[in-house]
Amino acid sequence: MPFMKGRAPIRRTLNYLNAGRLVLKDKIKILSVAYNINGQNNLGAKEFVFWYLPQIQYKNPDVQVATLKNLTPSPFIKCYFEDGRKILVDVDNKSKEEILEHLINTVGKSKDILEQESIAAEKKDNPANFGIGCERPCICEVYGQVPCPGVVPLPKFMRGKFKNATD
Amino acid sequence: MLSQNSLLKRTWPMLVQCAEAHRKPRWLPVAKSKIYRIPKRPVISEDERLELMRLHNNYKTQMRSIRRFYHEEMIKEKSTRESASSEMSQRLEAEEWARCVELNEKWNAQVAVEREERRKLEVAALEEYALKKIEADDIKLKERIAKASEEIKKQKELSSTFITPENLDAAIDHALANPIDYNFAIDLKGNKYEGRDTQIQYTKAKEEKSASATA
Repeated sequence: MPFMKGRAPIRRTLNYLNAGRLVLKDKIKILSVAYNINGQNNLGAKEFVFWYLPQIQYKNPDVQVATLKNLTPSPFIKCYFEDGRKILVDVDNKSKEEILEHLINTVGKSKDILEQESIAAEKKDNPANFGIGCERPCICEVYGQVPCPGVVPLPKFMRGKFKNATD
Repeated sequence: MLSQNSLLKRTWPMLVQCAEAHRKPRWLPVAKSKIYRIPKRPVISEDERLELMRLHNNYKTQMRSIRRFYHEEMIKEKSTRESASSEMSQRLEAEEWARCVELNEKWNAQVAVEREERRKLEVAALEEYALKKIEADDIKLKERIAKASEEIKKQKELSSTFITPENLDAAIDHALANPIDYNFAIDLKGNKYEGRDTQIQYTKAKEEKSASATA
């Protein structure tokens, strides 16, 4: 998709996607939204799909987000848990903000948990470390360090060939 | 003898003595003199074979038991650790689940009530609309009937002047007696002179026109 094409391309910007507030609980595997395109009572669900579904999918990459368009008489959202439980949310005649608030309160992670998780994610090992699993795989990536001899040959005074020359 | 390549590449092993005096480089094929040489299989006596097998079996069994022991111990430790923390977390989760379900049910009930009200309003509006439509249709139909009956009346009145087989001859006579000439001429001022043979007084018309203009 080109960057500024289509309806409301702001939905595809990183800032907008990151601003999503609904992070689903770990046990939720599928979120399905059923709605119709006609009728005043479906407007909230339709706009919810249009505006908030990209954010939800971005924030929950491991959750399957499905939409059922024009298949049911009334709009609803259904969450499937990994142990087979389900939560059905009736979103008839509700605005998209109300729907989002309700979902955050019921199936989303609470603020405290999100804060804890963000703190845990920020904790990393020493930034000075390098190697496999660290921020940088080689010290030669740091400015001012000697580049890898495989990429750029070492200066002559460091090489045994010249250091140990006998003649 | 070291290969020439290795001599060129290495800076270090000039003084190192190799264990073998000479070894064929890896990339050379089998020597011509050794192409058809088939190495002899090592012969192991039956006693020795059995003994080796016994030793190997023993070793494998012992290693397997040790491995299994550690593996099971790890699993046990893991499960105990999990159950200790999971009981707490499970309780918390159940509470959270109950809270969510309760919240959701409240929301759903409220939505259901609102929907019921809305449906009632919609049904009432629909009924009103249908009634209005029926009324309007009735009025329209009545108007059409009245219009049609009026037309019929008018035609009935007109029917006295229709030409019928009885008065056909009279009508023909009348038409022959009163011929109508539809021809006409128009002068430059747009005056219409009906009839093919009508005489036109030019001068008189001109005088009249000029007199009216001066007046």
